[in-house]
Amino acid sequence: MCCAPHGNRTMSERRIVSFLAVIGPPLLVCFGLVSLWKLVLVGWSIPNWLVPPPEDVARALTEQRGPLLQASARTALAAAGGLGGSLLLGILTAFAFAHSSFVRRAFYPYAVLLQTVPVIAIAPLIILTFGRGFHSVTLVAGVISLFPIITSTTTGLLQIDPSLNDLFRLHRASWWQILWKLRLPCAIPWMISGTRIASGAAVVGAVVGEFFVGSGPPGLGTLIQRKTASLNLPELYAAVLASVVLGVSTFVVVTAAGDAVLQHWFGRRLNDHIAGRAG
Amino acid sequence: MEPDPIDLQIRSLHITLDRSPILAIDHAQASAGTITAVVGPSGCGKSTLLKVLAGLLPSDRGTVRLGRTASRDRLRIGFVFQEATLLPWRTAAANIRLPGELERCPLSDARVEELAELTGLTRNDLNKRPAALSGGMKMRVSLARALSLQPALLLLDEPFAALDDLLRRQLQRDVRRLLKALNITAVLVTHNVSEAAVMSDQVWILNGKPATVQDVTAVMVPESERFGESQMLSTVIRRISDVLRTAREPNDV
Repeated sequence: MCCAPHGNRTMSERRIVSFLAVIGPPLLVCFGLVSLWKLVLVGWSIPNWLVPPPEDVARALTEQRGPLLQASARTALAAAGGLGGSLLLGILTAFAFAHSSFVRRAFYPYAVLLQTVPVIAIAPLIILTFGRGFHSVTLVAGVISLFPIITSTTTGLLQIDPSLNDLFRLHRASWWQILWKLRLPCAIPWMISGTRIASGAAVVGAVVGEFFVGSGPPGLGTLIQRKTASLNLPELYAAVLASVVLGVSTFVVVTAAGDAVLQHWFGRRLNDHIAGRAG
Repeated sequence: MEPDPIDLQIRSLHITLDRSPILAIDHAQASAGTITAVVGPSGCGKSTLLKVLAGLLPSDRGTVRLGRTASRDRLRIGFVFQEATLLPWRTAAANIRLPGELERCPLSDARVEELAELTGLTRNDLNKRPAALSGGMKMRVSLARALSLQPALLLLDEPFAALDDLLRRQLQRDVRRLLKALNITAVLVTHNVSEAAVMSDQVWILNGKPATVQDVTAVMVPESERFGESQMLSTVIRRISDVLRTAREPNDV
């Protein structure tokens, strides 16, 4: 029987089709990469002690799912804590930057420093000041994810349509009214965009932070370190894959949450918002 | 009740922007309840004049007298920008309410509905966000917002420039009828000579560097002939075009 015409599809059918359209291509690429991995190992006779075959990694993923899930949860918690802290601090800093060009000029170079200083360089300082542990990992995740939020939010607060600015001045709006009714809502898409970038950075910060300043129950970073030391390659690859999945999941969740906020606030999604300004 | 219309008088108005003299208007005036169109070469300072009238830009010297006062602090001024400049996160109704919120005199639901009716918006339109409105509807919301606080003076900065011909003609007609019905003094900046003629009661032609009001053309065309084929209107348009043709294009923007 011929396929039903596009217009006759039910809502649930359309949802399944659009879900497959989103999930299909990356799954296809994943399948291609795993196949290529296996082909390269077999074709070039690469030994298992150097690069484990995909089936060994899959087995490690199954056998170690308990510890991997616990480690992922701990790393996710540190990343979320860091991201939450950087959101609060980043938005407050952006308010100060948007309010005063002097403050912006004086402090912006130090904000850039957050982005450029490697974790390995600040890890000893964090250990000396705060000690090792979950709180220090959270701090590293926060430091790493702070810069995108500051820059995006500052840009959003400053990029106001001059005509809208004139409209508010014409009606004698107070500083607070301009901030609350104009600047802050205008900055929301920028904040969401910055948070999307920062979410990935926070996961990287948490994993790397666990390398240098972590202690106690292991997160993914600690797990990667331990498996490297014990040369348990299938489990090492499994831990790396788990951190990739955590990073992608965080990005997807933050993107979906951001789109929901924009849909509610502006009646459109982030990509639509970037594509054309409303009003 | 709508406020009494005010007249507008400009005397010895000098405006400099970035050390460059933009406007030097010795004298210009608009009677209460009339619509004055301002035309001139591109970059001659038409929009700057509008911003000075609104109090958004300071003048170097000279006075702008609105009614019996030279102070614009106590007068309400409405402004319609070239783009609709609506807040995209607010519905049309919430956009119309904005000036009232900023000036701490909130509009009643009845007033919002009245403004919607005046400007040709439906109740359904009022609940839509700007992204769901057409260009013409957005401009009607912008006009309703500008009229929301019963302004003594309405300033329009090329409000129809971004619209297609058909919509522009429709809005020109609607806005002129509305302003005349409300008896509001209005100043319309436009680069479109025929728009200036059909919309206004007089046309100021700005020219020179710094720009001055080089010519004032009265548009004494009956309402019934304004939006159709009219010999009188053609004569006015030809006269404005002739004056503009002789105007030299200024070097600055």
